[in-house]
Amino acid sequence: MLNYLAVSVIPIMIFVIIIIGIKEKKDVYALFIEGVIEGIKIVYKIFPYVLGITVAIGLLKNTNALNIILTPIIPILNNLGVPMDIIPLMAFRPLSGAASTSLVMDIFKNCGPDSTSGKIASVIMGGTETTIYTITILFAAAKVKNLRGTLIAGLLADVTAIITAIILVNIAVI
Amino acid sequence: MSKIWSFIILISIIIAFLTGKPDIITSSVMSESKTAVENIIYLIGMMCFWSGIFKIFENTSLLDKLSNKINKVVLKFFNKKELTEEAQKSMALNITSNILGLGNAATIHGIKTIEAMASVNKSETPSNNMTKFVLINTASLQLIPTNMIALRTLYGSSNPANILIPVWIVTIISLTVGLISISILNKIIK
Repeated sequence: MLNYLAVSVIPIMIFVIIIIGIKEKKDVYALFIEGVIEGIKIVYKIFPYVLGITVAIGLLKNTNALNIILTPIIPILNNLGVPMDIIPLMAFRPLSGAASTSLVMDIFKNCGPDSTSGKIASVIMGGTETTIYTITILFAAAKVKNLRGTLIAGLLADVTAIITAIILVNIAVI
Repeated sequence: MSKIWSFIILISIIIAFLTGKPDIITSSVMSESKTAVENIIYLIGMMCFWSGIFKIFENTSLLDKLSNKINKVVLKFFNKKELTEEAQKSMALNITSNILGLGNAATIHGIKTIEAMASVNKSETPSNNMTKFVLINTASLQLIPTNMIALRTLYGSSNPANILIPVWIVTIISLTVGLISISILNKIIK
C-alpha cells in the first residue's frame, strides 16, 4: 500500500499541477515551454561543473589515488557501514549541486540505484542542500561579511543528515 | 572549490607517476569527459520537463494560498519585532517554494527576504533572525524529491520512490539539529 502511494506521488503531482493551471485559466502549455527553456539554460550552465568534477573524481579513482589517500580509514569506514563510493559525495554535497548530481549519477551507473551506495546517495541528496553555496548566495545578497554560527550549524546539520542516511539504509529501512 | 579541484587533479597525476602508470591519466581524461557528456544528456530531458511543470505551478495561486498558512507556523521561530511585513511575506513564499520543490521561486523570495531583513539590521553582522533564516534554507525542506526519484527511475531502480520516508526522517532530524545549534551559536558568537 505504502509502496503504491510512493509510486503514485509523481503522476499525481503532474496531474494536480496541470488541473490547477487549467482551472485558473492559465496557458498551461506556453508556461511549460517557458519552463523548459529555463531548464535548458540551467543544464547549459551546469555542464562545465559536471565535466570538471567528473574528470577530477574519475582521475582520483582510476589512478587508485582515492584508495591510497583513504587507506588509513578504510577499515573504520567498513565497520561503520560506509561504502567507499559515497565518500566523494559526502565531501562535495555542501559545495555544489551540479558536482553532487554528477557524483550520484556515477554511483547509479557503477553500483545501481538500488545498491547500498545508491540508496545512501539518494537519501543524502534528498535530505540535504548545498549548504555552503546557499549561505554564500544569501549573505552576499544581504551584504553580510560576518557569518556568525551559520556555517557551523549548517554543516553540523549536514553531518547529521549523512549519518542518519547511512544508519537508515544499513538497518534496511529501504 | 578551486583549491580542492586543483588538489584532486594534481594528487592524481603525482600518484599515477609514482605507481608507474602515467598513461592512465590520458585515457581517464578521455573516458571521464565522455561520461560527463553522457550524464548531462541523461539529465537534460528530465530537468527540462520538471522545470516546465514547476513553471506552471509557480504561476498558479496555490503558492500564495499555501504560504499564508505556512506563515503562522514559521514565524514562531523568529523574533517578530524585527521582521517587516515584506520580510514576513517573502519568507513564507520562500519556505513554501522550498517545500514544494520550486527551486527558482525559492531563490528569488529567499533573496528578497534576506534583503528586507538586512535593511532593518543595517550591519555587516547578521541578526539572529538572519542566521536562522539562512540555516532553514540550507536544509532540504522539499517534501517530494522529484529530481532524485526521476534520476533513480532513469537508472532502472525497481522502486524509485522508496527513498521518500527516509528522506523525511533525515530532513526532520538534521533540521532539528541545525536549529538547536544555531540557537546556541547565536548566543555564543555575537
